Amino acid sequence: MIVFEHVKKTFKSKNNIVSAINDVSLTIEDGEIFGLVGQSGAGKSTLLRTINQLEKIDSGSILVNGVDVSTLKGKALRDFRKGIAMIFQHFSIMETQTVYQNIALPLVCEHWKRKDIDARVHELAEIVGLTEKLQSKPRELSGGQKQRVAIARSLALNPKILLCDEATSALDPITTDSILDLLKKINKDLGITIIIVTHQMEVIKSACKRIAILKDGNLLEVGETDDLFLSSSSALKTLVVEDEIVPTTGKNIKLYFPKTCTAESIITKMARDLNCDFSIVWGKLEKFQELVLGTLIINVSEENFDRVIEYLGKTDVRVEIIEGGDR
Amino acid sequence: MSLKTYITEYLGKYLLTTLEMVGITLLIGAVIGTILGSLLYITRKSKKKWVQVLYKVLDFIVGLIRSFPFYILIFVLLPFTRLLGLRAMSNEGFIVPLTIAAIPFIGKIIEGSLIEVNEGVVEAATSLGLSPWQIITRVVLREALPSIVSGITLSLITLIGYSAMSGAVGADSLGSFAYNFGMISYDTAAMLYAVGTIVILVVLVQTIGNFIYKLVK
Ligand SMILES: Nc1ncnc2c1ncn2[C@@H]1O[C@H](COP(=O)(O)OP(=O)(O)O)[C@@H](O)[C@H]1O
Ligand SMILES: [Mg+2]
Repeated sequence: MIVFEHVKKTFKSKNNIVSAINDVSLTIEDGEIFGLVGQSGAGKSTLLRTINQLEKIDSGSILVNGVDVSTLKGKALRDFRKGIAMIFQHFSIMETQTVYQNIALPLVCEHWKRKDIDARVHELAEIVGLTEKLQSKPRELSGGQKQRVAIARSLALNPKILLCDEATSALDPITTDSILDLLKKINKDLGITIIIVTHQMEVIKSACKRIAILKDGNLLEVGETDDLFLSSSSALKTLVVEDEIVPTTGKNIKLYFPKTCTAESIITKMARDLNCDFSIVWGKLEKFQELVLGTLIINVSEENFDRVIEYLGKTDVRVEIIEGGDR
Repeated sequence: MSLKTYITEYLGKYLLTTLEMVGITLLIGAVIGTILGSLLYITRKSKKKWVQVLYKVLDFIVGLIRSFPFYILIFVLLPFTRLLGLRAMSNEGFIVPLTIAAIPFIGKIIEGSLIEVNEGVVEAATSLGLSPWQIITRVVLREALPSIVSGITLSLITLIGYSAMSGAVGADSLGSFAYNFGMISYDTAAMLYAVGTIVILVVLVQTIGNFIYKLVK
């Protein structure tokens, strides 16, 4: 369990002071995949890096499985870091070394026996699917494969926690998916707590069970990802840039379908029950891990508007009225 | 002088003395230069005040020696060479100024190579719990190796160039041979043979350097 309490961090340079983290309190449970999300400069990376003390905090405390990380120094800090893996946006693996040598690095530094290193490297290569590439140099690998090397290396010493700082931001969507699948597998099979820093909506939706939304160093919201997506008031909306082109006549209503009901049944039933016409403007299904959720925008005439709103109010669907054309 | 005389009577001796003085210098220069370069790299990044001062001092001394014209350095260091118990006006004596010039030269090259190493890799190594010593030796120096090899190759070629000035203290090398025969005895052929040998040597060093570069990359 990772507990942040009133964590503050400022960066001071010659002519200005940036408050990168401003009084953040947050708890991350063992075994979950947790997302730290927000726009660029929100303080996500800084907050993540305080966990393994790549960044020291000014005040507050961070407890990782009961250990106050700010108190750690020297050898104790290094041993603590061995229990916390980290991967980065630009992979940060050694260009001059083969995949094998890269993965073996932490083991060599721990003075493992050659035979044990060999066994462990093969085991890790198996997990990340790089058995065929062990003798390749990074320049012969794709971005996704490089990230797999970094993941294997980070897992070498059996960490309990994996920190991912924009780990998929330099990858194309398909590769991103495959890396996320790998992270989910690691989370499930090895029981490793994963904390993902990202600004990518796809990553949040696909991998993160819970998220914390940061803005300008402040913690805006913490909660289950699907709840935050469905809540029309959530700060998550400020992150989504969608081209919602809607008709300028009539009224546009955006519907959020929660876990308990599906779009078709409600829409078709409403059409029958109210006996009125409306057009479907725009709809989308979004996948949250195993769950599929939908948003739908419908356009109704002014005279039917109140009836529709009243009808929807009795269902589980959340409703948001969109002003026509000006978005 | 005929080519035959050059090859049979002079080439072996002068090539050997050249290789010897340059080789010993490179060995000492590379070891101390690597330590110096690593020290510059480490101290330069530190946030501690006294370490920053240490960097400034080191960097100043390095700059000072490097800005000395080599020909002047040879004479400035004569008392120092004697202090070390070496005969100043001889081949062994010439190795001293050559090494003193090589250390800051190589040190700066190593520092430059280390600075080029991706900061992200260093950070990743830190996150893996590696010690500062492991980070320098196993990660930074290793990642910088191709660049260091290029730098050392360049240093070696520069040293071969410097060795030509060995005549100043009566030490023998291919360069001093070319100078003595060509400029003083007006034996142009002899000079050309010696210069030709140096050219071949330089090309050979560069070729081997390139080969090792590819090997470590
Ligand atoms: N090493 C640093 N020195 C000075 N300012 C920094 C440093 N690292 C981050 N910052 C500042 O702190 C704020 C948060 O940065 P960061 O945590 O990297 O944001 P994010 O990862 O959400 O994009 C930004 O305003 C950034 O400019
Ligand atoms: Mg960031």
